[in-house]
Amino acid sequence: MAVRGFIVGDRVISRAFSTHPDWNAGFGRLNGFSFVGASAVGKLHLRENRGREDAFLIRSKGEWLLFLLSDGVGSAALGAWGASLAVNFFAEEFLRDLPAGKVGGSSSAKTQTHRRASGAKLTWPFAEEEVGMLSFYRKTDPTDEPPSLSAEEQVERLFAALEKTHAFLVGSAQREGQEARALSATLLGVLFDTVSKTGLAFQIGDGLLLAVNTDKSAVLLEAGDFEVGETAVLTQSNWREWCRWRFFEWEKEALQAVFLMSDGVADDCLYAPPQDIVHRFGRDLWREIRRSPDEETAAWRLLRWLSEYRAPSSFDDRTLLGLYR
Amino acid sequence: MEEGLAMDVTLSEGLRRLPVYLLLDTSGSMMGAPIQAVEEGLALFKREVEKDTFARETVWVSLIVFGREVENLTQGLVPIEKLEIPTLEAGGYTPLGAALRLLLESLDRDIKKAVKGGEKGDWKPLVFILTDGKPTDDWKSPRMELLNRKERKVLNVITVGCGPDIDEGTLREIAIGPSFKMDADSASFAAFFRWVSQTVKSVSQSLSQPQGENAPAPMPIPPDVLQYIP
Repeated sequence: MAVRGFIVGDRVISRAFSTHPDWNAGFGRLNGFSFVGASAVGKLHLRENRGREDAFLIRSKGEWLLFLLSDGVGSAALGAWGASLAVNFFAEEFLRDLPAGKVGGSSSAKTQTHRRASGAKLTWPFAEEEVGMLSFYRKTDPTDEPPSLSAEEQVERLFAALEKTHAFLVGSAQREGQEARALSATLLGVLFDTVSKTGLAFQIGDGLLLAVNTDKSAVLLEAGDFEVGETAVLTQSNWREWCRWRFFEWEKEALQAVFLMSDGVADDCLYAPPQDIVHRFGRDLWREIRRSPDEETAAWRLLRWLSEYRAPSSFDDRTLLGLYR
Repeated sequence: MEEGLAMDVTLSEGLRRLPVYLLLDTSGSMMGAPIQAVEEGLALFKREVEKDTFARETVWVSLIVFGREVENLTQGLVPIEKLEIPTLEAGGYTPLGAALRLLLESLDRDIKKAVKGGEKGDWKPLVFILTDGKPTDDWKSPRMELLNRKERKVLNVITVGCGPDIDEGTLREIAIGPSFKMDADSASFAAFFRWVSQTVKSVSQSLSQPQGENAPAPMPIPPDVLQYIP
């Protein structure tokens, strides 16, 4: 039987006209781990009548969860296309032939969902026409358990997929008669094994990978120093020099949540005042996420918050993904 | 928002500023109508930039005059809303080199570098230089210092010469980016300051760019009164 998986987030968009939604969110659960993802167009792009140029994707394959986030920083015309290509192409390359393992017993245990608090109607006032989408996937039956992927194999697979994605983006730009920089995009990701509870985090460009544990929130992965207004991108020829990665172990590091975010959010939680802002931000975000009665409500709340919060000189698109337990 | 659904998350209160430096010639040849037009142009610049919600939040301005005195009138950078339009007096020579040195001092003292966990850094500054004649002191040394900076790097120094006595070659050499000339009538000054405010508003909306984009910021097309010096 073919291994199945689900996909949540931004698909590849049409080159002829933009089908990238201005606001998008998703949620789910796998093997006892919950996740949410949300992405909101920023004030600047709204004012300029431009679309959102961040893209995100959360995919599963068997026991694996893959989180991806990209900020399109190329030309105004192709930014969203570059970001959606980056996350979709990379995911396809990375997950192809990935030994999927089996989804553990807990995934089939319950389908019960919590009831939302009465009177808490969720509305979406920003959209002119309230167009949305509901997608669901069937349960996955357990399969024979193949060998898991070693750490070395994961890193090898990561760089192979990044190399192919780099070549694909450069080639796509050339086919449009553009330079590679027109499709410039950052890429942040986490591959997480829900059975062994270990993960591989990686990052090219700005944005932030944040870990929340029982003691404190802290940066999970240092992205490298950039001048204000500059970032590294997957389309640059020396992208390998800017790729950061590390493994993490959920239980050994006493993790409660891992968050990925684009610089539209990271910029609002990396700099003082107040002091200790990174910890405060992570603590508050985790508190709010777990206050939600279910993942669906968490996704709605997150999307509204990303759309509405005000921070000084903060006008960019905002995307945030979370994995938690 | 619906009760109980709003999220309360601590965010940074830090501000990322766009520093804008205006270096204005107040030498003796600017006496009369030209210096009056510069004052009116400054008021127009402030009004126009303040109207833009993004620029109002991010633009901080420093005014440096060079003539009989060389002075940073704002004593550093001030938010656009707090910019007071000065009464300018024309007289003396054209010590542009001394003005560039004041600019360098302010860049070292007032421009913030981003420090994670610490301050949010500033965007790269925009510098506009308006002059009606040739510099009368050493401008090459401070200009070289400006060009060679690695920290608090400046990528945009736009020079504009007004009137018949400008030296186009010098203007071109001082600039890091485009260089222009225009007449010294009040309509030209007004158009110049309007274009400066449009440029500032446009740059204030710049978001992240791929690394190594060490090029001047993209600017709106200048008005016809501003002729590009090739």
